Amino acid sequence: MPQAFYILFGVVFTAFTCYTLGALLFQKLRLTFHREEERPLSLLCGAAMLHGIVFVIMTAQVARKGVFLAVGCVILCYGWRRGVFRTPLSAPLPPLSRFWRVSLAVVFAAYGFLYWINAMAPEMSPDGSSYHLGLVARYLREHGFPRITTTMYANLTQGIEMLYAFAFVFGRHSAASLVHCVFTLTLPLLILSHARRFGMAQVGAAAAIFVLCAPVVGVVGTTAYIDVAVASVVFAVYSLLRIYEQTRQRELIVPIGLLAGFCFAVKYTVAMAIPFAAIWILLLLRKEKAALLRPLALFAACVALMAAPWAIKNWMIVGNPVSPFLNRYFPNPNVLISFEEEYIASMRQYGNVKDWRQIPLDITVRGAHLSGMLGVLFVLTPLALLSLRFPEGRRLLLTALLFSLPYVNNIGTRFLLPALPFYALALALACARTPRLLPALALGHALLSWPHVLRHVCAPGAWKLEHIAVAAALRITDEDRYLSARFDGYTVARVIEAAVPKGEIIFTFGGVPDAYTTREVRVGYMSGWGRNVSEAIWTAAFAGNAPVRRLEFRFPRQPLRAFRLRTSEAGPKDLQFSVNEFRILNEQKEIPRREDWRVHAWPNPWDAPMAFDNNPVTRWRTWEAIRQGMMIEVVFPAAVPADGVLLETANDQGFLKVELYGLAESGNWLRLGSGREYSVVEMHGLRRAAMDYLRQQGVSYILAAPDDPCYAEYHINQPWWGLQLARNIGGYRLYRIEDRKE
Amino acid sequence: MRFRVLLSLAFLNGCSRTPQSFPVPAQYNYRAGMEPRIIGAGTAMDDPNADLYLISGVKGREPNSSWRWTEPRAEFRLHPTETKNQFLVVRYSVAGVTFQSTGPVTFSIAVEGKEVFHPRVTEFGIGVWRIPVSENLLRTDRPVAVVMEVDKFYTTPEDGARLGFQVQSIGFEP
Repeated sequence: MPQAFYILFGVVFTAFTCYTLGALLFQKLRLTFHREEERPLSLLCGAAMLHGIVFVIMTAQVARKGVFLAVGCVILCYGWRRGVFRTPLSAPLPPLSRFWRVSLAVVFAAYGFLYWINAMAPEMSPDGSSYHLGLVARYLREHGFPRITTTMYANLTQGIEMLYAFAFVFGRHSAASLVHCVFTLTLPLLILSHARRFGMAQVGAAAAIFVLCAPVVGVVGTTAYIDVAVASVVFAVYSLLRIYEQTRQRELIVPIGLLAGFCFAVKYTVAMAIPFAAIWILLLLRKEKAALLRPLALFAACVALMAAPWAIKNWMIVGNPVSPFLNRYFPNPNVLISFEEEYIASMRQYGNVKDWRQIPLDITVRGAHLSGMLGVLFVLTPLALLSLRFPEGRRLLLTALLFSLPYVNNIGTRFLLPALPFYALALALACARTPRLLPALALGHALLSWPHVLRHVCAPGAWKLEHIAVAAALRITDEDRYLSARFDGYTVARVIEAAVPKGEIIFTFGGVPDAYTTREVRVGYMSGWGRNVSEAIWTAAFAGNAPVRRLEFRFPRQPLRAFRLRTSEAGPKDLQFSVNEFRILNEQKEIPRREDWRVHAWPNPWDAPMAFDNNPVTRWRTWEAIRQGMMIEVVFPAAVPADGVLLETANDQGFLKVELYGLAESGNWLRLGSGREYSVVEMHGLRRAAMDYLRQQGVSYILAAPDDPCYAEYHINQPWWGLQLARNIGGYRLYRIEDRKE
Repeated sequence: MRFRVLLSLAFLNGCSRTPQSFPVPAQYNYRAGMEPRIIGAGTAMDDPNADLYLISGVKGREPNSSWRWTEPRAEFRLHPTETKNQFLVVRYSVAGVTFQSTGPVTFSIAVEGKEVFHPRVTEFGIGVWRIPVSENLLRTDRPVAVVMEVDKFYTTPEDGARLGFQVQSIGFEP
């Protein structure tokens, strides 16, 4: 059977299963919609429900093709029997003018073809081919959720990825991208039907085109990213709330709750849909003077059904229900507080944007820095303020503003997508009273956003759709050959697949498209584990990080039951407290460490053993700026005679102000002094020590990219690292870590 | 009562279990002698490996310059090959731009925490110090710390950087 068939089967099967679930829910709740709005709303509500079913399948560790096929078939058969595929008998929406019908048909046909072909072509988007589908592929290989603590991306909610899994199991990568494309094509239909319901047919038609043709919608919505799907879910919540406001069908609270909870399940940044919907419902109930508890409890239960499984999964696996965020409140070893702060800071100002005044032009026209653009049309977004004169405009702009808030934390263009439908509707509403303006704007936008025109408008190299690769989409061109010619990361992934034995772990600083290899590639920045491994390598590679500083404490010889080293004052913001080795001395000699000693630290207790492992490249560190009272301690089962403590630390500990305490046999803590720095030393053998640490952590291979900080260092000092070049892949180097010869 | 239950559930949710303590792990068999010696008895500041000799207070190398700026306190590590009859040789410069602001400056140079030289520089320009170092301050089994400190410094108006003096090379020589 041709590959294209499986791809199409995957997406069609998934989309129909979603639709059927949603339609069954509406049927069960006896909800009445207009004919045109029922289908997109069914699809989105059903998507939320199917995500829940796939979550259960993953949790039960039974994620196999047969199970997905059986589940889908049962749902479709039941839906068939219940008549969900019959043409709805409900009333149609007010008709569109002939001009808009023709315009929409032409634009939808053109862009639909463009998007479908691009989505069906082999998947090579950066995030799609790495973590979105990389994790999906891994879940399917392992038939469910494995316990992953080594990439923070596994801790993000993955509501849309659950739908991708349903399609991926049949049609692999492109089937998942096509699922996203289904959302991309559904969103404008939903906008249109929503506007028609509220008497704004031409506004809806224009806004549908504004959104559909926005270049960032095209480039994101045709890959295995999730952002356009997220925008669709958010808009569905809004639309259902407005329908509830208009029709007061109390049963609508169920799909509103499910979709609001699904917002949390698809992306944390739109979780505000939950309080947004709750407050809206509360206000309507109060206006009706209706009882509050039962409807709000129903809403909360529906939200919890969608959102709670993800929070519980995270809590159980990584110790933080909202990982990778709020780690200060849910301390855990898997995502470091310092990383979270750095990550958020980097997302606030990436893409080489030096001045915020560059942003408006970049996200609308240029697309040079912020990954995609909305289109020239959206330069006119300030005109949307004119819609404030209408109640609908005020609602739309308030909602747009609310869902724009997360943009402050990530200035990439696609982070505006959840708010885009609202801006588009508000802009169209503002222009609706000027004759012929809306058609001109809509058709001009459609024309300027077409890839062959857009390339003359935007910055060179801007992220956008480039081709209409029909042969690749239909797999007339071989997928492997297509990807090899265009996607370096794919080649690296395939070489890893061939060169690394099954079950071996590869460490790298930059990452690879995990979706194209079954080998586990762990990336330095993605977890606490990865940061420790990175640190070990950097300590060995860069002299400035080596533990060359010694701090010695001397005191009268006495039996002590514990030692505690404590910071006596706060330090500079960019400095952390760390100890590579904490040695106890007696008569100038180190007391051999024993397994029954217990070590503890605060903060970051999990890494305390690293200061007692005799490996100089590993260290316990606070991963937070130094505050007074941070400490590391060792407790003995019985008092040990000692007269000194020697700390081996990195250079950056020169500013450290610490005090040493000893626990006397009487149970009192004695202050033993603040130490005396007595030497800096040269450290040899660190490279091999670093590799031994990696081996101890289960890593057998290192992948070095040309922009890797240690790329040259691995190469020049290969024998001292204990590395053996396994493959050279167009500049990338794959090394095998040699076993240490004793 | 119901409120209390909810409150305690909320607190339960807010707390994650933080471990109390861990056993000492298996000891790594660290072998220092597996790599060649990294640093030598001295270095020029334009040497590609010069960074290996710097502990703190020395700024990065500027393009096409064999000099490096220091902060008021600069710390180096040098690994002598001999201990007897050794001199600490420093090729330094007090720049005109800093001298105009600071006037004459006094240096303090210490090896392993013990001051070995305390010169006063009354003119700007390039100079060389050749300072005898006592045998008992040096050792060959590990590097020794050399600290150079100047009593006055210049603050640049552009970025507020504190500039002490400039170094071209530093090392132990017979």
